[in-house]
Amino acid sequence: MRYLTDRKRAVGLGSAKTGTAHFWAMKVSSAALLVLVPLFVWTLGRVIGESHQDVIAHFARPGPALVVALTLIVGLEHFKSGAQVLIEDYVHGTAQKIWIIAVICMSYALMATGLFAIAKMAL
Amino acid sequence: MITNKNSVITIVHFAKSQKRILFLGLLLLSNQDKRILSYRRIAVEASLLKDRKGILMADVNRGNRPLSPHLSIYRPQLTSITSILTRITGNALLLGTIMVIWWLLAAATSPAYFELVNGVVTSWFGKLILLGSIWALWYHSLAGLRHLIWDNVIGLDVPTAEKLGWGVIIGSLVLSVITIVVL
Repeated sequence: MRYLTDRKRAVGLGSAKTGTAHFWAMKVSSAALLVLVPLFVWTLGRVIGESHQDVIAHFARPGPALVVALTLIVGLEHFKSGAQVLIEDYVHGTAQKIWIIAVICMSYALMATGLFAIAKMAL
Repeated sequence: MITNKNSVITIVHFAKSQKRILFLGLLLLSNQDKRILSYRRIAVEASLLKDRKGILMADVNRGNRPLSPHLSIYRPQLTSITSILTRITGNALLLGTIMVIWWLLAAATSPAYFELVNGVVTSWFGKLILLGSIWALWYHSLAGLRHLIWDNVIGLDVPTAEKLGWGVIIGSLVLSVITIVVL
């Protein structure tokens, strides 16, 4: 037993069996976002409100394009899991399932839309 | 509660034909035996109910049980307010995210579409969402950092937790002002 970490011993337990994986995914994505969010605010804040030409030129550069793309992927993945917990706390039964599925679909749709826009400007 | 009377009923219920023998045997039953017999009675009654009504339903109280205390019971405290704000800011950031992605899509589509969306984003309403999102983003980031600290069983005592709470509130406001001034 003592060769196992605390997390390893908790994996697969609980009613849903996925609680530890969910918790760990939130921890990892939040640590990543602590780096990405300041970069995202910096790179986006510099061009929001600027002309169309400037915006396209900005996102044609690899740095801003990659920071925005990574923030959208990690951030919306983080949002998807966090909003799921919110729904699980306040909505129950069939409505809960529908809300969770809707949030998952919306998160991936937003992620895909943002990545498409960045790819189009960057390439 | 498991009573003697209950056990008698149980035994009568189970074996009416052998009533007399079981009734005598009851005197020799331990408390544990009686309890097991009562549980069996509940199980049998539940299955009978299922057979009669075609639904799975034990004869127990399902709807009217006491709930654990929730938000409406507790006095608001710094730790509880900063905690609920973490959830509110995290989920409210969806609004700003949708607006920014819409703006990115417009920029990638055409100059005319960009003019339209850029007008919305730089209007007073769009600026209000951006301003709120900047604060929410910093607040949620600092609150998340606080959770990463707490996850290591550090700073969970009340004085430290309250200091961290003030740190999150003041820190998020300071970072928001810096963001607005610099950008």
